[in-house]
Amino acid sequence: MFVSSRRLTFLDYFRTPYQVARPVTGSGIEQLKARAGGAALLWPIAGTASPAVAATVQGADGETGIPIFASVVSDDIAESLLGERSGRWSPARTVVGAHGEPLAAIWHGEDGSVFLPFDPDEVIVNYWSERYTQIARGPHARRFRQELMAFYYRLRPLLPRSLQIWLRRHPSPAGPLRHASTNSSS
Amino acid sequence: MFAILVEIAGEPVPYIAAWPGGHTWALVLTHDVERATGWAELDPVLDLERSHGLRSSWNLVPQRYEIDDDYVRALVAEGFEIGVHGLHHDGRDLESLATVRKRLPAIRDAAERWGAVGFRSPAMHRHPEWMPLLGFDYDSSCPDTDPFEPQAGGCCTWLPFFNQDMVELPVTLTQDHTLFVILRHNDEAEWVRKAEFLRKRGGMALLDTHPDYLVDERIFRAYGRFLDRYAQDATAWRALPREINAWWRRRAASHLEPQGAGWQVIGPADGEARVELCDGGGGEQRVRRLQSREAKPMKVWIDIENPPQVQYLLPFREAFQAVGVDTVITARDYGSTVEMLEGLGIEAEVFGGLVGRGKLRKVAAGGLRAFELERFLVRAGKPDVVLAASRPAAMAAWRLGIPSYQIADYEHADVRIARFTDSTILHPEVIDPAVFVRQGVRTDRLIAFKGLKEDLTFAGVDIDAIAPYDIGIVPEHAVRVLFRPPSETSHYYQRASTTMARATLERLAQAGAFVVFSPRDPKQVALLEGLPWRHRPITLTRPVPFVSLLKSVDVVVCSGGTMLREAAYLGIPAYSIFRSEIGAVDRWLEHIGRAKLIATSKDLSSIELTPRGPLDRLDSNPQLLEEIIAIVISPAARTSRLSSRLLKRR
Repeated sequence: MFVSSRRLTFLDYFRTPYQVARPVTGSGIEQLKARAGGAALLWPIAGTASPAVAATVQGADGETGIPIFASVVSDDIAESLLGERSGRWSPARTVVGAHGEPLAAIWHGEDGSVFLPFDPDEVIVNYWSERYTQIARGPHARRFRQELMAFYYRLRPLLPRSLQIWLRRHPSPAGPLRHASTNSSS
Repeated sequence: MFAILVEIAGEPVPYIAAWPGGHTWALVLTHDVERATGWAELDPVLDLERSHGLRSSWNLVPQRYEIDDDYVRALVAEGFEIGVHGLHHDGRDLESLATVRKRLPAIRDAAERWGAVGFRSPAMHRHPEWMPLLGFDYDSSCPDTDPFEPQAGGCCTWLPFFNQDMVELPVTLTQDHTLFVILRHNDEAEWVRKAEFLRKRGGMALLDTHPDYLVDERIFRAYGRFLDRYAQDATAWRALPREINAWWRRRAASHLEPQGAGWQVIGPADGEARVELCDGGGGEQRVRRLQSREAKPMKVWIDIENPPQVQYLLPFREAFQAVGVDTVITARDYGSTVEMLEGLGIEAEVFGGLVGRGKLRKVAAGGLRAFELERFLVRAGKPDVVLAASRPAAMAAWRLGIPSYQIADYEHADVRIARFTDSTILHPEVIDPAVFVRQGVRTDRLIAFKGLKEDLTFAGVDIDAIAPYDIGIVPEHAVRVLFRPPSETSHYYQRASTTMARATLERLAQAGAFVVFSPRDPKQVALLEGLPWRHRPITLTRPVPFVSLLKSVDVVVCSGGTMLREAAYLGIPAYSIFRSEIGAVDRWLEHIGRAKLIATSKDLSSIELTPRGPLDRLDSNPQLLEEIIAIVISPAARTSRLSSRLLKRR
């Protein structure tokens, strides 16, 4: 049904039929097209983007959005990548950072093609592997938390049960976990 | 993402459904036994699950308490599963890679001894990159989302996924300790809420409870009520984690290949996997968009064989037309079928009539009717698909090479014709699909729908606006009873049904009921003769609009059939004296208190002859008409491999 420039986790996961055909020349962009041709789904190849960040793809209403944790390419780079392709492109959805600042955009081509400024596989894998906690808090905070948890378990036999339960009732700061929780239940 | 893919493809995008057979979601029960006190309290939980016909997985800690391996083997032999729950459960089993390596041999030793293929980390401690090193087929140490665990987070999915070559089964329902102790809930409402959320979206509801905490009567009762709710849910795949793991591997090793205008599953999941289509939209809008791609209007053939089918199949005519689909109606001259259609201004092509008893006669008449239908449809223009509850229609559709959708709400009817003609059976979800599978129907030819076929019958009907039928002068204080004798020509008819009908009428006569007799065959009036009537019964000799008729009585007594279900649906006291095998729908109506099934003549005294209260519609699925239309007109459905789950995902 589709032809992709590389294996795609999303399609493998849902067992949607597709073939892999490497493009003859590199363009900095991966692509998925229908076998019959026409519009394509595009995204940057690995290494084009900056380190992974916590971001949100804004909804059409500008309010609701889909949280993602991935490397994103800025509009400048996107324009440069898309400039090598035919047709007109324009930003359609904004991707904002943790504080609401614009980071990038999802672009639509006049032929119906869509350019994602991130690798969709990376988004999936960062959720499954819970790497998003590290992306949002940073590696040091994560390591500190792991050490704190190890310390807690060594100390736990000495802690009264009521204190243990009190600590469980006051979970870690929301941040990325709220992101994840929202995503999982919405 | 699917929306983008559909736009690119310009057509619905196929994928292999998450769950095998006719199941639309999965329910997995697991337990972690944390301490010796938990190990000592297994029996009440095991007994509770056995009483519901359920099995679960038990994750044991090899070196924290003494474990009787013989007992473990007995549990496995009984169908329960054993998994490994760390080594010491001291919070340090996965503290560091060095600790993992040190403890792994003893963990593996326990796994080999118990035949365990699954792992649950103590306190859900996890390092996704280390878990595959443990050597288990699956891990279940990660919640979908849980901010209250010592290691907060989650994998943000409610479906299994691969972590390298290990399958990860997310824990998707809140753990008992978290729910009842940390969050101070008092009942199972949150479990039900999340389970319903997952049920609606086709997810996996995986629950982790502990015998250590189930000793609390409050939690135990909540768990029992949760099991009550889902133990009979025909849409749920109630599987052990190891079964989910094995299925997920078969699914991942399978792929789709084009077959005709549809898709076929190739690989180890063939025969149990279903192909679904995503069109990126939802509801009515989705239906219309699919339809707009057709070069010419689609034509759906509806075949109506008996009066009840007029009630639940005819609403499709208008509903199809509303989404731009043409219809062609055929009918059988049986009972008041044709008269009812004419009364509604429907011009139907009529083929066949009353057949009578006898298998050979039925087969011959069915074959002849199928031949006539086929000949007519070739002449009139071949339809794209048939929707019916009719064997001749299924045969004609098979000869014409068009998909056939058969609505079935009585699982003990003979479905061999549906099987041989490769028809898809649409059935209420309260019917266990295994009954059809045992008759040889392929699982990918079964689509369970939420609700009852009466949701179709009453779709858009304003009950309050319909006046009761005038049954004449009712004697003072007499209770009005609508009585429907058995169908003596159906293939599942038993003579005992007629004997029971006669005994019931005798009881009604003695009790002074005012009986409105609705025979299926004029000859059945003989049943009324020679009984000690205090009030002379009236016999219906012509078709009466069914809602109007039902509204005119206090009680309905039927030998099974549609009238019983319609009465129960409207909240009219309904009694079944059906003597053939009872169907799941009737059992369910009794379970929810809307019908009473009378097994023997001794139980006839349980018929309560009192004036009824106001009507109370069931409305078990107000969207059923639209859902079935979406199934029938989906292009992929017309190439035959599709399930309803996609359509429920809105």
